[in-house]
Amino acid sequence: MPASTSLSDFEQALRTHLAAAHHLARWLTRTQADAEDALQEAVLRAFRSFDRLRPASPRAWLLRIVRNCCYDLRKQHERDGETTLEEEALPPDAASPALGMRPENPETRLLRMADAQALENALRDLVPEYREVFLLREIEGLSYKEIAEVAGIPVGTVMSRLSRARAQLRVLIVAGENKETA
Amino acid sequence: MTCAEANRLIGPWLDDELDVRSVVELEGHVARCSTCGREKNELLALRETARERLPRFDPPPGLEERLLRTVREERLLRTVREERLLRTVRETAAPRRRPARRWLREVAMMAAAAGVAVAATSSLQRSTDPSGEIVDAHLRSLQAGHLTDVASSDQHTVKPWFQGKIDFGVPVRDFAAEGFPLVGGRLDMVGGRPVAALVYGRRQHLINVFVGPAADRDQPLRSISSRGYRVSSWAQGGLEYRLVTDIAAAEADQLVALLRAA
Repeated sequence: MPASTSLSDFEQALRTHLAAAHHLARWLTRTQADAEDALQEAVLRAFRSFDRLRPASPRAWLLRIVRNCCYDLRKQHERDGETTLEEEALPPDAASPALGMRPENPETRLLRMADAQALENALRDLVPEYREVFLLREIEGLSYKEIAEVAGIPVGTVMSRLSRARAQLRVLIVAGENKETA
Repeated sequence: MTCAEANRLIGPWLDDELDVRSVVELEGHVARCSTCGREKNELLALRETARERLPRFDPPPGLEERLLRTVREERLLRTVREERLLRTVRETAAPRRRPARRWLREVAMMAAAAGVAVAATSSLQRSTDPSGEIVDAHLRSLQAGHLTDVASSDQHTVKPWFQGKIDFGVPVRDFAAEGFPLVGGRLDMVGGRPVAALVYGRRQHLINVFVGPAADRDQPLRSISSRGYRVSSWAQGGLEYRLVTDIAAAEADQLVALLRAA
């Protein structure tokens, strides 16, 4: 019976990729409860289309749905009148004078492994569109093509967002550390 | 290769996304240029920090089980919807073939009776668990493809449906505005006695509220957990209420409060 095989296949995929899905959801939402709500919704959406789509890469496919659910939840919070963080507006892809920084500026150099808290704070300060490409690449180890699939953007955009994410993170980390020592 | 070109390619190089020819060219440049060499080391330091020091948010215990249960419930609901659709199609396609339909209904009733028998046996085996019977009735409603006899979110449709089928009045209220939409109602058997079952939804979860005549006119609220389900029971106005669900206790208590205030 196809229905029962699809359940076990689906369950299998869910079990295998739950840690990655949860991790992403946790980074793209503000609270644990939000992350779990987004996952719950994502699992339903995924289950409903699994039979029809039979995704070639279940990981990228599932992460894409989780990602979209996190964004939907955020939009919903915004509609409900909850405060939106100022810095969460995506700067235009064309230029990156965001925060008025240039990565090659020697004062903004990250010369050694950074403090975990500094990186975590910096990541939280990034717009989610930059945060997600960085996490998918460095933590989940996805290829540019897979990241493009998850985020629904062209590979070229993955490359430019990743480059800006890294540049901004370095500036934010150094700025954070300077503030602490000042 | 200029520094500007190299700078753009260092990231993709470290990500293994660069073609072989560019890699060779870039390696040559980075070996000679200290600025680009430093850029490379910084990106590696950033990666190392992310991989080794960033907190890893592991799924909390029970999350996987909750999500898998969501999948199972969704699957059951899909079956219910398909059966309901099939029934509608049959009834509209062959409105005059009543004998055939009655025959189908008899088969369905036999199947339902078999389900009740199985559930009764399993509840006997769990006779130490007083709420086991309620949980069994809840599970049966999800599994037998028989969630509702009257599927409606309109309390003015559900309430009169019970009249003449049971010998007590059932208060029926929709709480969609409070986040608990009424899904429908059905007749059920609990403890060998007919009861009214009201079905409410909460996001993707279902809640059964069994209503029957109470032995004592009023009984205080009691809640216990059984096999992952929460059963709340109380009596008021001569009716005994037993609510069963797998949603969070705090949410279940919201519906209890709404029902008690209604």
